[in-house]
Amino acid sequence: MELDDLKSVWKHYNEPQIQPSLDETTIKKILQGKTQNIIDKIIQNIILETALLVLLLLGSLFLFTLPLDNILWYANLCYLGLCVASFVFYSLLYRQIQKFHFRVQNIKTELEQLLLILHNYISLYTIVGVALLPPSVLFGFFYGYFKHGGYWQDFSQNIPKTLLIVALLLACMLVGFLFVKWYVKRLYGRYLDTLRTYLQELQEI
Amino acid sequence: MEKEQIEAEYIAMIKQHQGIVHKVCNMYCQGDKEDKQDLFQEILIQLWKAYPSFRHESKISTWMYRVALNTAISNMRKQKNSIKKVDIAAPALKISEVEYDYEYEEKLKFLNQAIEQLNDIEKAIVMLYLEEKSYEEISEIVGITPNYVGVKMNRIKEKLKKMIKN
Repeated sequence: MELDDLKSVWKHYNEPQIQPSLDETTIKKILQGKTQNIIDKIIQNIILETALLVLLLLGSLFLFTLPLDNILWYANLCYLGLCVASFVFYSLLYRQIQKFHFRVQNIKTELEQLLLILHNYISLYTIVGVALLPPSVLFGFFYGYFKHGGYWQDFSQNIPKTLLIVALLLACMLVGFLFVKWYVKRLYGRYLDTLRTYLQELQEI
Repeated sequence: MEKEQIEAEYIAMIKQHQGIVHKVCNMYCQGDKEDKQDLFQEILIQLWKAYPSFRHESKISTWMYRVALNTAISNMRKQKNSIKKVDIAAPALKISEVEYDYEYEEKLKFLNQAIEQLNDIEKAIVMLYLEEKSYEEISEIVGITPNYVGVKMNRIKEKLKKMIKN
């Protein structure tokens, strides 16, 4: 049996009288449903994460109005910088998606654009996740340490203890980094690989 | 143009060309009714979102194939979630009963088996080929040259020949 022999089967299989016929009410009902499209989900995530960033930004600005000691002031500055940088990146990504979204293109171009957007989104997600780790771990540790009566001098007076703390903090950051990498791969890894394979298939040699 | 007018136009378009959406769903979700409904719903939503930007520069069927195939290919079908779906086999959409002959069923079974062997890109090309689209039209939808469509078709035919031998 050849592929051409199957044309008649395909035609018969898809004849209008054996396909369900949609009426206006059903079409309208369908349009009210939620989309599972990856780009729409990314847009939703960007909006949600930007709202969260704005809240963090406001919180960080509010902290500057309080009397902070040096360590807290620098940690807060760090957070503020990260928030502003993330905000700029999210805005750029959102603009890029809006440019591409809803402009119907051929399958190859669509795949290229989709991969580009996913790559940028995942990179941004990973960079923000990883960049937040050191200030979060250090801020948490020093804040707790000084709050419980610790002093800077303690670190220079007890070197083995200091080294142990540094090792623990580094281990925390490493675990966090590995978790972010694993999580991103688990979320998008297989999907990205499939899309890349499809695109490769459309590349003419 | 007002929203109601766009919606009316869109509904008329879907009613007239819904066969395209059914065909894409039949090609990409064989046997799995729930997957088929998910994809059907998703394609209709994407068509609706893209409709206001449709400039009538290409044929409506070409445009619909593009949206439907892009949705099917980029769809994350493995990850199911509990989105409320409209049952497209619900009373509003009764399927007429058609009697099948055995030869037809055999051929249909073979067609289904053949489709299962293909990846999503090959499915798109084969579907357009079965729809008797020209290589130019296939190249316009897929984004490769007509020559390369020919190359891809030959490879797919070889793949299917091997399948028959096995």
